[in-house]
Amino acid sequence: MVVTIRSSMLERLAAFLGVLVMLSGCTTVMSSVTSDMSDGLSQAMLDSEDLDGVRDGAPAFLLMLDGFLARDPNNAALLVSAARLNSSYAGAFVDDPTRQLRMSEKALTLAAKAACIEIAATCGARTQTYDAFSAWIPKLTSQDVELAYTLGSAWAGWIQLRADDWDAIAELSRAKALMVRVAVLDESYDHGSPDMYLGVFETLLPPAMGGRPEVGRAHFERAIALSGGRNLMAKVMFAERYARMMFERELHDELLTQVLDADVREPGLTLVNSVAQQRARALMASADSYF
Amino acid sequence: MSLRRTILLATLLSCWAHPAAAVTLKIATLSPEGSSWMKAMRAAGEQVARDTSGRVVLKFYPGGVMGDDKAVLRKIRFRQLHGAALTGGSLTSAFTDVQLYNLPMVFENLGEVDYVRARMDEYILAGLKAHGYTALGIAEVGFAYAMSNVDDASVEGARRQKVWVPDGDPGTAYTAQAFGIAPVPLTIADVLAGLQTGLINAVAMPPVGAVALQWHTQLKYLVDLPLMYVYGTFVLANDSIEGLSEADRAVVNDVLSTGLAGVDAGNRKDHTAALGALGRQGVKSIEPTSAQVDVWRDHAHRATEHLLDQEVVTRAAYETMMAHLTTYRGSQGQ
Repeated sequence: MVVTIRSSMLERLAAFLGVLVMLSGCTTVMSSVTSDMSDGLSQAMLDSEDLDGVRDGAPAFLLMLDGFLARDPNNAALLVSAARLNSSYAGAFVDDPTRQLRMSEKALTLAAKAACIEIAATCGARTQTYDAFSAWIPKLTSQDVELAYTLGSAWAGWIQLRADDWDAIAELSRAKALMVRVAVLDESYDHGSPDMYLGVFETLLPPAMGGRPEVGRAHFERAIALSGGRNLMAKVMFAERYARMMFERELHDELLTQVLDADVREPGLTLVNSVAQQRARALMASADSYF
Repeated sequence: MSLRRTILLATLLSCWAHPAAAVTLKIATLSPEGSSWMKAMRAAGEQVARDTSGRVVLKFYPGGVMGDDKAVLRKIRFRQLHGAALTGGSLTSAFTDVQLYNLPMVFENLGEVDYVRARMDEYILAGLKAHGYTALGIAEVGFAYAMSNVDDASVEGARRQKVWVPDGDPGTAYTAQAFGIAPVPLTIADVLAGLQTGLINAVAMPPVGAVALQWHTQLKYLVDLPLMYVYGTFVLANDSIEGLSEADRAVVNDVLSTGLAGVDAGNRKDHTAALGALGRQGVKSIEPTSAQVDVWRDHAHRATEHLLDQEVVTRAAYETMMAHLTTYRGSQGQ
C-alpha cells in the first residue's frame, strides 16, 4: 500500500510521540519505540510517490528525529535513520546550496557516529591516514553492511556536493573503499545500490586519467539486474554518467525512456524512483544540446 | 614543424552563402562533465550563443571522449573538431615555444610566474596564432612537486626511487634522466595501480592532479621544491572562426578569453587548496636543505641547456624569459 505522508500527519505523530516519551520515562522503552517509529516513518516515506508530500513533510520528521537523538544520542539505529534521511533529502529535495551543504554535513556526522558506536575501528575514519583507514576495511563483516553502507553513501553525497573542495575530493577513495567492501559483503543490499555507487565512482574520471567506464557500465548493469530492473535511479545514473561520457545517445535515450515508462511503485524504492523519473525528464530535455 | 591544414572549402562557402545559419564550433577536452572547467566553458558557451543571437554555438566533448591530445589535434586538422583544451606541451609541433614555461625548475615561486606571464603570454599566443591556432589564453594547473614514500629531499634519494614519467613524453623522460633518474614510463591511467603494486613509488605532479586522481592515498612525502610549472591552453583552429563575421568573432574571442582568465585565476586557488589538502591527508611536506636545492638546480640547468641545444624551446625565448626573471628577482632583493 502506498502511504502518503502529510505534514499534518507528522505533526500529529510528533505530538503523540512527545506524549509517549513523557509518559514512558524509560530510555530503553523510548529507544525501542522511537527506533521502530522512525523506521516505520522512513519506510513510509521511501514507499511514497508523492514527492511534494515528502518534500513538505520530511522536515518535520527530521526535526522529530533530532528530538529523539537529543534524548538518546548514542542510539545507532536512530543515527542511521537520521543520517540516511538527511542525506537523501539534501540530494533529492533541497535546492539551496548552503542548506544542502549543512544537511550533508549533518548526515555524514551522524553516519560516522553510528559507525563509531557499533564498530570501534571506524572511529577515526575521517581523520586517520589512508593506510590506517584501509587496514580495517577488509575486517568489516556482513553484520556491518548497514552501517558501512550508510557511512559510504552519506560520504559520497557529502563529496558530491563539494566538487570544488579539495579536502572533500581527497576523501573520495575512502567512500569508494567502503562501498567496494559493502558490495563484496552484500551486493544486493538496498536494491543493488552498492553497484550503482561503484558505477558512479568508476565514471568520475575519463579513461585517459584512470576512469574505467566499462567497469562502471558493468556495475550499473549489475545494479539494474539485482533489482530486477526496478531500481530506476541505477538506470538514470547509467545514462547520466556512462552514456553521456561515452556519447552513446541511443543507450542514453533508451535507458531514460524505460525509466519514464516505468511504474515507480516498488516497496522501498517508490520515492527514489519518483526522483529518478524527475531526473530522467531533465536529462531527456537537455539531451539535444549535450549530444 | 608547420601544421598541415585541411580547409573544407565547401563548409566555408556554405557559411558565406548563409550568414544567418548557426556555426557550431566543436570543442574537445579531457575535463569531465561537472568539473569547474566544464562549468566555466558551458557558461561561456551559453553567453556566446546569447551574444551572437544563436549564430555561433559551442558544442563540447568532455571527458576525453574524443581521445588524447594527439587524437584531438588530428581531428582538428581534419575539421572534425574546431578547438580543444590541451596541455601546454601538446601544441609543440605547431609552435615549440608553447612549452617555454615547462622548462625544469625555471620558476622558484608563483610571483615569478605572474611577472613573466604578464610579459610573455602574448608572445606564446601570437606564436600559436601565426601557426594556425587562436589561443584564448593560458590556464595554470600549478607547480609539479616530487612526491614519494621516502623521507628524503635530495636528488640522490630520488635516484633510488622508481619514478614515474608520462608514457610517450620524451621531454619529461629526458629531464628525469638528466637528474640521473631511471624513469618508469606509464600512462596517467596506470599510475594509481602502479603506486599500489609498487611498480613505481615516486611521481612529480601538481597537487590538484595528485588529489583528483587519488594518488595521495599511496604517497607519504612531498618535496617542497617546485620542479615544473604546468599549464594548459584553449585553442580554436584559425580556420574555424575565419568564416564568422567580425562581430561574432569578437564575441567568441572576448567571452572565451574572459572565461579562461577566470579558470586561470580559479586554478591558482585550487593549487593552494589542493596543496593544503595533501598535508591534511597525511602527505608530509619535507624541506630540502640549501645544498640539496643547489644540486637540484644544477641538474635542472644542465637539462635546460640540453633542451635548448635540441631546440625543444628556442634560446631567444628562453633568454627573454630569464632576463625578465633577473629583473624580477632584483626587484625582490634576491
